[in-house]
Amino acid sequence: MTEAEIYHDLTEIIRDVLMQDDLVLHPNLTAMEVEGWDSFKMIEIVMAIESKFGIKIKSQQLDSLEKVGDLVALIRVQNAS
Amino acid sequence: MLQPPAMLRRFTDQDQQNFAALSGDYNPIHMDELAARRTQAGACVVHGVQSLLWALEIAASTLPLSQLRAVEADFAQFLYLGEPAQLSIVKQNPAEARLELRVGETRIAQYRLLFGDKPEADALPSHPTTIDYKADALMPLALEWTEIAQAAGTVAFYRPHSDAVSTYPALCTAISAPRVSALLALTRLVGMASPGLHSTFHRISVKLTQAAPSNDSMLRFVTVESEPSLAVVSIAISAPGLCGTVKASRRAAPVKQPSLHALREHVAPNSFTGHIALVVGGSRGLGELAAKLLALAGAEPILTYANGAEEAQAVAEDIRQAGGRAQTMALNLLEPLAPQLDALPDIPSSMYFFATPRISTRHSGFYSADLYGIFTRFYVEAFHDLCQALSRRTPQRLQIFYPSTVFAGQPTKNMAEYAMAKAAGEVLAANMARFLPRLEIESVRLPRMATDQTAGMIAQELEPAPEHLAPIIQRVEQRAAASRNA
Repeated sequence: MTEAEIYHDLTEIIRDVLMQDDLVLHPNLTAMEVEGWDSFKMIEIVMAIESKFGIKIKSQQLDSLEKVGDLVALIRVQNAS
Repeated sequence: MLQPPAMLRRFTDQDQQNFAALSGDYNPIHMDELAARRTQAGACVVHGVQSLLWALEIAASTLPLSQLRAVEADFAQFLYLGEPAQLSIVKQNPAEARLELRVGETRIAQYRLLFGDKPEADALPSHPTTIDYKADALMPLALEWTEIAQAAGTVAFYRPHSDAVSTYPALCTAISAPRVSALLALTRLVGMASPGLHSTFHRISVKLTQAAPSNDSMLRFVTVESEPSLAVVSIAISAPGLCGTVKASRRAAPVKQPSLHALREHVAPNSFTGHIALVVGGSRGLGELAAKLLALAGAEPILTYANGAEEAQAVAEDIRQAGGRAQTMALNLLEPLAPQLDALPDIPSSMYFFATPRISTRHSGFYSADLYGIFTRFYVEAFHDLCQALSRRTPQRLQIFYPSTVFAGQPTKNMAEYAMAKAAGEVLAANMARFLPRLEIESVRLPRMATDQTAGMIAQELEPAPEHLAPIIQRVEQRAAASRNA
């Protein structure tokens, strides 16, 4: 998958979970900047990512994520392996 | 546009009673202050569906709800009784409207309303019935996770459709009373049937279907997804004129501190016989644990409580049943302390300060001055006032334990105000210990341990509390013994 495709699908997921259909993702965006993106929503997002991309994200990997770009990179690596 | 006064509401205890009587959702998190105190919410909260139906009833006068084809509701935060909940329409076009419910800057819930032709109903997956929740059922089910993950069956509507019409006349006109009854049944499903007693309602995603609403007074449901690590379930629902899914989770049950028997290994019996220890906030959590450890060591704890009289008395009774000594007394740290301390049954030689407000993590930004104020009122001001008031009553040196937190030394998301107030309390404790010679204060940064306050949605590693508290009590009481013998 290309990075653009991942951004497209990820945007759909996060908009759906957060019920914010105008949310625009960019690599430097952090969860703290988005209203309602708390730890519970993050888990929901991860569950949806795992289902959509057919990957498994470990909680230790989650801890190291600081911004959307990190999440996209993780999906890309996992998706390629 | 809507008039502002109609958009602001403070839900009251009477509103809760009325809504429970209409919906049949009597879950204690909404109705019982003492039980709610032991939940993640920490106090009674408004039914999510109540706030949704209130919003829809208001919206019915402005938005074309007769064309409503779908409703999504996200209950992101608890709404507490008495809070000023402000409803606003943040987006409106012919296809969709979006409403938000906020308290101050914090978004409590958001509702998305979609307009257009009503769709066909989706068939509910077939599944053997495990729950048949009758119309006259009044007790929430206390299900195990495995039962929740497999739950399927029916929930009977609690009241006739005419009662919904009385409460939500405009909404019933717009979408029909049976559909409003079906929405009411969603809160009964989650709060009373499955997940039931220990539930939190997160989301509604329903379609208003073409099927003509009938007199069938039943909601059917099948759990279609379950995520054990979060204890979250998605439940497919179907009722006359309504189908879709709801998402809810099973809350952690109230934390039970170890029994006296289980704590025996942590203390030397009778090592502090005759010691009187004031345990502030002794009705539950770390205070309860400290009281038990003290009693096992032969000391006599005086457990104070602000609200949990029954809980404090139950702990004291446990101690007495096990052959120990314990007393209880009411102590409200937000009221003048000196007159309350007249009720002290004995003069303590030590004091353990476990009083705390609800440790809320509701946030709309990095820092809330209001939240910091609530924490400092307890961890700084009340601590200072109590130390001073007690030292005036105790002839000997008073030994004090001040529990701080590891978060005072490490950044943690959404905990800044709590950590800052504890850090301020540490500084105060050090200053008082240095300049008030009759006070000796030990302050320790404790890790996150299992209490009602730390029982969160997401499983986390919690330190065993007795291992941390027992040595602290040992040190404090040894110093108390030295003071007595001096």
